[in-house]
Amino acid sequence: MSELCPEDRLNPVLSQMDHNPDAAIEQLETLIAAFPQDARLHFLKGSALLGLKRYIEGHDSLKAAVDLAPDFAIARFQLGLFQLTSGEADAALTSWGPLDRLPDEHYLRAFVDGLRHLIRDDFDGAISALQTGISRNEENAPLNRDMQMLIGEIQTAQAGTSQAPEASEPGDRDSDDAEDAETSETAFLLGQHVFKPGRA
Amino acid sequence: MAQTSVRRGLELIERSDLVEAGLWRRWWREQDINARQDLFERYRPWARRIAGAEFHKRPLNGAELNDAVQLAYLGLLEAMDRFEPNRGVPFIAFAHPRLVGQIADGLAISNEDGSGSRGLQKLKTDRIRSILQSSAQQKTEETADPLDRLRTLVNGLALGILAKRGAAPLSLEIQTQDDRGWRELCLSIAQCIDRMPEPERFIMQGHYYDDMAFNTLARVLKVSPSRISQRHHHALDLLRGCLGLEKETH
Repeated sequence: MSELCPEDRLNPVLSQMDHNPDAAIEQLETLIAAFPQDARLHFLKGSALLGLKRYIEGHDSLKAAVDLAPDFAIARFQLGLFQLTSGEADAALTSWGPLDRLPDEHYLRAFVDGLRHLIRDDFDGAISALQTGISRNEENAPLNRDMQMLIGEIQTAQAGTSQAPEASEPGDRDSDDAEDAETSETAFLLGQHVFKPGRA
Repeated sequence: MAQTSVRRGLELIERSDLVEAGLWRRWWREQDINARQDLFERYRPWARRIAGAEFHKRPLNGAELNDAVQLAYLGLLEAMDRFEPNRGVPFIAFAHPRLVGQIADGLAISNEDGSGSRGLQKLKTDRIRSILQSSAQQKTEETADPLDRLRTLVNGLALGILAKRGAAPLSLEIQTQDDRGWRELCLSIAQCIDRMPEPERFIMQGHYYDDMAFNTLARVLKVSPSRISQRHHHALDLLRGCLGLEKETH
């Protein structure tokens, strides 16, 4: 059994992630040296690096997380999403493949379905699946915001105008939460906005 | 409601900066030639602008703009090979002095030895050799029918002229019915080239739209110039097929 970084050493890093990512990366590198097999550390480092636009290193870290822990679903999803936004759709589909083993009702299954629909230019299918994922996702509000933004982009494209995206429909998870990403104290899920739709 | 072009799903989600970072990663780490080609095509317009700016700063002395452009492409390729994308330096900042240096050195040599405009002459030589090369068992020059070779050369060069027009077919002025037919032909050729497999598409567009010599194309694709010549010959066969013309044999 590989050794995992204790929560009391991880939590200070989590609190640094949003407002001091450089310091967080330094601390993560120290932790990785002590706990090299902890995929969460590589995932956190990858997310912090992407936030600093260090995309090549960020990709390496996300990939390391997934290589160390193939069942680390959120890391695998984020790696695929990053690959997709990087123009590597085939790599994204390969990364996401094992997520098909998640339970049918898992929100990541729905998000991946939505993105697969998007790759095929099936905008209606994409919106439907992404909205399903949003309604199922109760643990990662920042990811829901990302997917809601993507839905907005798709709707704008469908309308063929540059108008603002339509408001959320009743019953959708509220996307007007606090601006800052919410990060659980004990969880290693990250509220990192890997995806910013459509713009360089 | 204003009608806009249909956007593909991938266009909604891809980010230009991430796509470029991915290309650098694949070229730098994995020596992915397709990524190298994509990077070159991304920066080629910028290299052309640098060439134009540098060219107009200097006395002509027989050099042509295309000479500066080819030098800029060589500078671009060298910069791509030396660039380390994880150092946080933007590629343009890294490459700009190298391009300027390559152009300055190359044009200075050209002025000193009076060789002037080599670029366009090289293009013509590349093209002629490629057109006359046979993909089948080679006949010697002595046994090949001179008239057949001349016909092959003329047809090949004509296709090349049409291919060059394919770079901007809509810019052709329409005054007569013949003009309309001419423009439609050029459009068809541009579409045929656009649909070619790689590397034929890249070679045809680079050579005819952008006056890239075979040795420059070879450096982009990391193959020999003779290989480029073979692929160019094959591309002309593909073009003939696409247009419904008979394949040349000699």
